[in-house]
Amino acid sequence: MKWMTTILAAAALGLATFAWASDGATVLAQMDESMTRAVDQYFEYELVNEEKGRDPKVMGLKVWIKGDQRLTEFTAPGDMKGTKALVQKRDQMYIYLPAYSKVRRVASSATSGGFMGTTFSNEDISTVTYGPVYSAALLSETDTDWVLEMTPREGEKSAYSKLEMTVSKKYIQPVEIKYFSDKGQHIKTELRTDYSCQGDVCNAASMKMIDHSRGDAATELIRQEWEVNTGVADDVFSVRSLQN
Amino acid sequence: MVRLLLLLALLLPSAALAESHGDDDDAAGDDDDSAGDDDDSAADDDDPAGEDEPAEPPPPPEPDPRDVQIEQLEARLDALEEASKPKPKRKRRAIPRLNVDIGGRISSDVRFQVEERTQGGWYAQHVLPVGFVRNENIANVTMAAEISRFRGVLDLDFVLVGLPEDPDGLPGLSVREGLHPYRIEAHAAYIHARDLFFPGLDVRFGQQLVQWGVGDQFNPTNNLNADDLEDPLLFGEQQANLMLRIDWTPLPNKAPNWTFSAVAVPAFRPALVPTSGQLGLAAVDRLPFLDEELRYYVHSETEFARRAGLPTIVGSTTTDLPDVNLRNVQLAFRMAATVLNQDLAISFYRGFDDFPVPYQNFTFQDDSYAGCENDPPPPEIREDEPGEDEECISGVINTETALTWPRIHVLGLNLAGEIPVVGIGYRIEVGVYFPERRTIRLFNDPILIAPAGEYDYDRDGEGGGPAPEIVANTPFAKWVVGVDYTIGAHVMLNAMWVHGMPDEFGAGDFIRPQHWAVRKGESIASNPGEESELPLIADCALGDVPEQCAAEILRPKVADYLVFGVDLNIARRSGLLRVFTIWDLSGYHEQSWDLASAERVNTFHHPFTKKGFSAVIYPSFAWNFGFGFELSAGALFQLGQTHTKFGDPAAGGHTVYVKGAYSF
Repeated sequence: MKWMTTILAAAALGLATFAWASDGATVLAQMDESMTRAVDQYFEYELVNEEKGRDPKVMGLKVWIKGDQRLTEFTAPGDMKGTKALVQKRDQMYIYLPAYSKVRRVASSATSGGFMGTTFSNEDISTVTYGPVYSAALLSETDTDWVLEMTPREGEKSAYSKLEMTVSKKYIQPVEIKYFSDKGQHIKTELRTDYSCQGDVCNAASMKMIDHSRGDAATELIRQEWEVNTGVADDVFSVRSLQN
Repeated sequence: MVRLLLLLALLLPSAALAESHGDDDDAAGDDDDSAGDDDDSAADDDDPAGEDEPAEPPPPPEPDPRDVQIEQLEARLDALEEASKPKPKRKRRAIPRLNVDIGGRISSDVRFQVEERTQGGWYAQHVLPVGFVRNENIANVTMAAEISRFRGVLDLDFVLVGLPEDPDGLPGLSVREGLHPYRIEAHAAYIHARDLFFPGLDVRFGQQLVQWGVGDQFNPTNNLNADDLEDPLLFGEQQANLMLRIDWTPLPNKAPNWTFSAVAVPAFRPALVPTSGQLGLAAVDRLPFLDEELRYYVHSETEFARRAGLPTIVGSTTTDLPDVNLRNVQLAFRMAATVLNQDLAISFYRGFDDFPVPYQNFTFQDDSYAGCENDPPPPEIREDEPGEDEECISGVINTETALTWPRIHVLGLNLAGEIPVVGIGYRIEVGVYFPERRTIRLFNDPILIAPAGEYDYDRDGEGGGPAPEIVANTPFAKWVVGVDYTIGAHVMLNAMWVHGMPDEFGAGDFIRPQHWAVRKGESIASNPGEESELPLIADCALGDVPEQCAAEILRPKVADYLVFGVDLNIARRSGLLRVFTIWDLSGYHEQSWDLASAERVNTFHHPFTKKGFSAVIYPSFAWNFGFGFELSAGALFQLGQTHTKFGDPAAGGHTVYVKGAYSF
């Protein structure tokens, strides 16, 4: 009957998974761990920009992620095709413009600006883990979610004075992030929905950023392809790779 | 939870299995027990002999079979978990597949010259008339084919020129290429091998661009590709060229930004200059000699001949491109790295400057230009007499100039990163040039002021002497220091201090003002019978007081500019209002003979005076409709007097444009 002991132990372990997240810092740490659990990931997205009174604009992009590094390559429309953005660190970004065959370093002052005309800022796009930048306090908790209030750590630059993040207990990843400006205004809302998992790596199939300061203009990243742990080499995230 | 479910799923069948095999387990247990008994008995058997020997430690207790089973189950669980993780698609990675990506762009560009620009006297005047000056309809095709580590890239422009050439008589009307001109521009046609021979070694061969400088548009260390200034609105594109490029990243995974590069360019390609550059030929007073005394003499001789009815023109130029041989192969090396979060690169280039310098002049008297200013064009015959103020000439002093490209070595330094705390991005690009000394030799047929033969450079009464310098072998530096800052989501500011435009070459800047570029030169000598204390023109041309005879407007060979641009993004980057400006900071030096002090005096016209001001203002507005479609319009204003950098008629003058492009 020892197997029963194992079941009970495993059940206890499973329950502990949920039970130990009793404060914001722990939830944040778990969330970061959950978001970086994959060694590497590859995505293809359709990006739809919507704004009232205008035709939606559609872009295509490929994204490779490994650790804190991220490489984004635009595949559509034609005037964006071949444009690549590389984030090696949060304050070390490059952009490759095929029209000039040139790699250009991007200053972090540009991170608050919109990423390629979307409602996502460069900072939103380049943030892979939140713990190093934000400290978190647990605002509330339900059966399914934690709600965190996150403020920039001392000495860390952020375009936002505060984030209010709802973290799914099921996926231990954000399902909603409210962004607040320096003046404390709720300026953007990001919704991450339709989560699915490959093994223990989970990811939202839709990420939608609504910019309330621009008449609720929205950008939705709709996942088309997703591969996990395909063995992406480190040198993919290099200036050398941008030029090739 | 996933783990729990997997464990349950694993254990339930295992449990069932365990129940069905429970008797076996028990039996095995019994066997174990019996074996234990055997052991016991064996131990007992040993006891008699053991009296003389130390007692052996008791054997370790047998593991509980249930623990073993649980361990096995946990191992299976781990294996299942591992198996449930997505695996690399080895099949797809193992079998290289051809991936072909095709894109392109259709664009149309219409330019209108809004002011007439002229240069030169009426007898050899170059004119940029008001009107449509450019219409290019470009079909660009970009294709990249990739298989495994190998890639081929083609980037071609098929340019259909909308403005027909003037047909050369009736036969010209049958030449389709004349009435429908077209050309092909190859921006890329190369093959690229990644990780060739070993990881980190990339090789690229073919028509390509190698862009090394961190400056925006102005790159003194980007010497491998020649400048393409043919389209003034692009402010210095680069021309692709045949190259072999090898990049070696020794630690591609651990230090991916550390790269050593070597490039070889077998054939030199010169800079393309704007069509307005032809107007520069008419500026015969912009003498290239470094020796100022020689310049004063030549100004005087030119004026002497002009007053005698023989103005000087540059009738033609010939070029002497470096031969394609091993000695003229351009080579460059570079090491790039990221250190303390800053991007750093040092480079070395051995080759040629993009822009030509004259190395030989041949001058002759050409009487075919004889005539008066208001003469009608042939075959019409003038019936009235020339007016009193009307200029008439008996011919011209015609000059044929031969051009070549000076050798240079360039040490380069590039730095880019950002200033901590404030988040301002910076870029520093410095090229230290080591030019080859170049001289010029002047020959002439017999002309009014000289017998046939070589010019008498040293004024010893015989032709020849030390050939005058055009380029000294003194090293000089060109640099770009730039910062950019983004304000919110809409505004981007970019400012650069540019020390040396692409066409500026040679030692002489604000730090070491040893040599100057002549922007305007003239003789101030008097005519016989004129009431003036200035020397007579004949004395100036033939005598020994050259410094009293000429006035010049000068500027440093390598001048300084502030390049400042503002981008205003509107409607979520659908609209882009850009104002790009260049401000000439060097000012202009006017030097002339001062009778009162009996010496040459220098008057400096600083950049914000009428004579010293020169700038480019380039506003544009582009609207991106999405789906790859964009329309844009703008204007290029080039401001300043004709002796200034941008007010120079050869710079092209004011232009407005409309462009449309669809990319796919």
